[in-house]
Amino acid sequence: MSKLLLITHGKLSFGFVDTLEMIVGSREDVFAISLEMDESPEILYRKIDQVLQLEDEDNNKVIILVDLFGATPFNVASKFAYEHTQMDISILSGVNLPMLFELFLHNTANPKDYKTLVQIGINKGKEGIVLIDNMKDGEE
Amino acid sequence: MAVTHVRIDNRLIHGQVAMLWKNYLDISHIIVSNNKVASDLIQTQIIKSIAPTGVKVSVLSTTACVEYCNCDESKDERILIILKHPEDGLELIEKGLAGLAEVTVGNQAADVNEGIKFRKGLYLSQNDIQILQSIHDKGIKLINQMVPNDSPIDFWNEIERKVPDWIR
Repeated sequence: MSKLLLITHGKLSFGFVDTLEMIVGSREDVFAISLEMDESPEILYRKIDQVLQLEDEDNNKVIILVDLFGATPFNVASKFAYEHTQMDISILSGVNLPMLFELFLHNTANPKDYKTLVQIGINKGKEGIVLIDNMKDGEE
Repeated sequence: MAVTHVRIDNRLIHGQVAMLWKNYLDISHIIVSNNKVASDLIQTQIIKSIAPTGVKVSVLSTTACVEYCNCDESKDERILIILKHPEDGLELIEKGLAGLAEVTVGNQAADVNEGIKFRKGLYLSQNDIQILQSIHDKGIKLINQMVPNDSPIDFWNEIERKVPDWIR
């Protein structure tokens, strides 16, 4: 099974895990890391290293979900990915709950299907944004 | 003047810089200047790949940064220089960066060195303070402003009040 790792500014990542587990129950394939105000990129890098330490060959596929493209969690995760090419690491920015929920479902049903999993994350994250409004046609 | 803002921020280009400062200052070119970062190919590649749209991003050694900013090619740009640590600022000044009037101190994480807390996200050691003193002594104004919405603070004044024992 792939690992899902959430990294965000502040405690948002823990909030996502808390919410996911409220819906699906306790998970062992989902991890959360926060970047706190006083922490450097180097500290965040070490936190990622600790969570993703390899235990077995099956466990070297990872999807990292971050809050914002181009911000510190994204930047540090990218550096980690470039420097750990023995693992398969994909980073998706703009994490949302539909994305996380579908990733969890597919990861559980098809634990070996990493490539599809990444694509599902992208698609469901985008499809999860749906507009409903109360304006009449043509109204601004 | 080409160099619009010089900022010391150990997180380099991140959300605050890419989203807030870039827009607030109407920047056309962000230069990350730190010798170690400039020699790290992976980090340079990542920094360039996350460039916000409509802005040029370069990663340069302090020497190359001064050369570029002092040349004609850059004179119509609005440049934001991001430095990792205070010593990068001193290097730019000693290498002759033209027209520099002030340096803004932003994020310096707590774990970088044994520093004391100035505010959330800004910790400085005695060594940092002495480097900032060298910058101040060269007639450069030191400002602290974490995000554009904060009022700029005369940072040397704050240093003098907070850590008088650390000043030479």
